[in-house]
Amino acid sequence: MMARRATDVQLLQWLDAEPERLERYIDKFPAEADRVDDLTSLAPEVTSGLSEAVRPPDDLAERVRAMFTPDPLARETAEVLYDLMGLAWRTTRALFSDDEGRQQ
Amino acid sequence: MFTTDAVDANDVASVVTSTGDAVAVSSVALEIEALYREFGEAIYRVARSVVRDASLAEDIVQDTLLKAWQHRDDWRGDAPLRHWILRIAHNTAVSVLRKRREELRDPDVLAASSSDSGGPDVERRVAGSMAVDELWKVLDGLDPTTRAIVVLREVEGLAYEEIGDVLGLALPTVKTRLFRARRALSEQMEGWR
Repeated sequence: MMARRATDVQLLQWLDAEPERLERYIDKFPAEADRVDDLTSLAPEVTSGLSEAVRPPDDLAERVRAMFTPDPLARETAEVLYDLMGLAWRTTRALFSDDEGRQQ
Repeated sequence: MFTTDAVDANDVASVVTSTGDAVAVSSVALEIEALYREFGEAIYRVARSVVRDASLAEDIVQDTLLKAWQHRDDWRGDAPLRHWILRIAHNTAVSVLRKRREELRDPDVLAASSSDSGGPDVERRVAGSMAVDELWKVLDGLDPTTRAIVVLREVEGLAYEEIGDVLGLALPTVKTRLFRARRALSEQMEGWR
């Protein structure tokens, strides 16, 4: 016998009051998770606010680099070498990798 | 600032500076630099979501990069490098948070740090900073792992399976925690739209 499909209201009630029940339900019917996904999706303003809330400071890269390469001359050399290596790496990846988009 | 248990970061720096040639620089600093460029900001965001404090999150970025570099041979390639590094970041952040809570239970430390709430920094760089502060208040009501789930999904764009892999959680757990967190965020931020 086919199990009765939970309504949107039921799904949200379980989410709020009986999360273990919802877990069991979407474990049994994985496709139902997409419905809860849609029902709870965040407004774009909230998502962009989240990004802003955890945004790294602009000078983070500089400070991390200084931590690992405190000597200014060595740091400058490291930057030049990295850029040269990075160019070769990016070129190779662009030519031979087809999965870059999937990693995003 | 905390230091790593394994190796003090200055040891790495001294290797770089004492040799004085570019080859030595490239062998250490460039590898860490490459890790930073690829994963540094994501590490920061995960760390920030767990510990909330910007300065601590920055320390965790450095610590995570150092650990990843030191243990780079441990990465087997059975999971994406990104997941492996974000797992290190999350574990490090949880450990730092635990240690900090223990320290704050110590009356001596509590007195010394009474002006530091451990919460998000007050400096905001854009208009709408009050809304971001409101958002942090909602995030504060979530447990650290749930905050990490939210950031990994909504900011980093990871799939549920990937989040489970990074955090070592079962798929249904990832989903229900995320959905509940979204409900809380949406309800509390209703007036923000």
